[in-house]
Amino acid sequence: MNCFHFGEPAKQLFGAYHAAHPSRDRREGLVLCNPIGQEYMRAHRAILELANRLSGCGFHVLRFDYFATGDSHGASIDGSISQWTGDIAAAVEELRDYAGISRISLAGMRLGATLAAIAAENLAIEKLALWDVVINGKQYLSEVIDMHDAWLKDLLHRPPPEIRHSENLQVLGFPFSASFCREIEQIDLMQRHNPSAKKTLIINNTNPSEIDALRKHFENNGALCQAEMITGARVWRKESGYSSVLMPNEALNTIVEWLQKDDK
Amino acid sequence: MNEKVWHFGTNKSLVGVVADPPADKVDPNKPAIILLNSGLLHRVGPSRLHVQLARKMAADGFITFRFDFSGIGDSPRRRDELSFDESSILEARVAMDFISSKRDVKKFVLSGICSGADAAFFTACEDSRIAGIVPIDLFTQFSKGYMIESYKKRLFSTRGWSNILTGKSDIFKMLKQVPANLKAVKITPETADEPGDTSQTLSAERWVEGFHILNKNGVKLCLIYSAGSPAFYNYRQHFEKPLQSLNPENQTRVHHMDSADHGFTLLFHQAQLITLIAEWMRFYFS
Repeated sequence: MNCFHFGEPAKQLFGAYHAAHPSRDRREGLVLCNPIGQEYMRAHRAILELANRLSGCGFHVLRFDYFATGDSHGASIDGSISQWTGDIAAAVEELRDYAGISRISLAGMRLGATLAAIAAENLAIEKLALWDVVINGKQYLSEVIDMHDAWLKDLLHRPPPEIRHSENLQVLGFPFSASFCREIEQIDLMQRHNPSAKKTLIINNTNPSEIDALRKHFENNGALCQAEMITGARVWRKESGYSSVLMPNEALNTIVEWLQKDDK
Repeated sequence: MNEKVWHFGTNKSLVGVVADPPADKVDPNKPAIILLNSGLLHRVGPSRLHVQLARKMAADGFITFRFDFSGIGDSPRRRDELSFDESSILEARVAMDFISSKRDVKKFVLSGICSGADAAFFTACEDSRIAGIVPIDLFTQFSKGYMIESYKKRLFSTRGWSNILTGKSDIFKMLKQVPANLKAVKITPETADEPGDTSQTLSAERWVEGFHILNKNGVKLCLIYSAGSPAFYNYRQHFEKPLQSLNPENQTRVHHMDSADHGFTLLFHQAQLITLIAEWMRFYFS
């Protein structure tokens, strides 16, 4: 693995490149798109493991941090959906140049999957793997705000209101600006009609009817789409009874196997 | 913003990011700061706190390096038999060697939350290049205060009661264990769960001894405790009195951040923590 910064000088992005296993090199690349905020903190290990497994199977993999997240430049408050979809395009270009390959696919988790689907509309992407994708931004925003409120309620030493509230909305340790919230609220994958990729995988462990509707929607837009329900912990959130789960193996195996399927 | 990613250590297996001060603020007399992993979180720290802190400290003229210990974040596991307690000290020292080889730095300040605090503390006991440490929520052993706090937390949490109502709670099992746990304040090598887990076998006396070593070596201490961490009660029970005898005015400061949780989740607490550390660094090292 090689870690570096890339992208425009004023907005450098952190990247971690996992070279394809030399004897299994498929001459194909994968850009992994992280979830955001606390979900990214919790999912970091699973995403690293996905990168390791894919590179072991012969893919060239690039993990990266969007601007204003992780080790990339920018303060957390400066994140935006338009910036991040642009960052995915920059990461795709970086991987093409770095590994000298042309065929690139995207895999994303949660909001990262949503960003991948949106970014792919303007990129030549082979395959798109969506792991518990956020379909509706309004619903997502209300869900993460509820999670933050539930966390606050659960504190034994509840901070006074003047400490709990801030100029910007805060969600489990991360600030969401008003403009960022407006951008999230506008997201609705069911209302987008540009095909994202030739082939799409949707995996989810909560709502079968939701992913089935998304599958049909992608198929109506001309993509070949497979949707699968999986079991196990949602690694991006703290779930009761799953504290000892280290790796979401079923999800990782499903993605790796699907990406390896021969196109011919 | 001036940051660079590095691979360093044996086989260049450790990954870190150095934040450099602006050219007009570079001062070789200032110590560099090294931020150690908090538990299993990768080097950006809880809610990206280490990134914020590194950038603030670099802006104030301190070279600041955040990196991943082996087996955490982007640094792969070690292939030898060293325990984490041993390898974390070794790797913190390797990080200091590395920064000294790349920048004109001779002294260091180490900081970390939780297990990162423990690593900072014990590395400072062994390495004379360390001029100061900022351990946050240092030391969690089962003092009585710790036990009471931890039970109180579970008994009064809404999640705890919701688990009771849904049949998921282990609260009755937990209550049965209270008397035994309150007695088991001191864990000895004989009673530790895992033979290799030295963190469980260390007595409070060993920690006090560490404080004496740091005091003797002139290491400055900025101990920070969050209200959400039972570590504070360990501090009160085990260290408060010994520390009072260690000339605390000159060398040791203790801060209790009322209402902050262990992960400094609220933006207010993140800003408060960064200000506290920045002021302490400025006071002792500028």
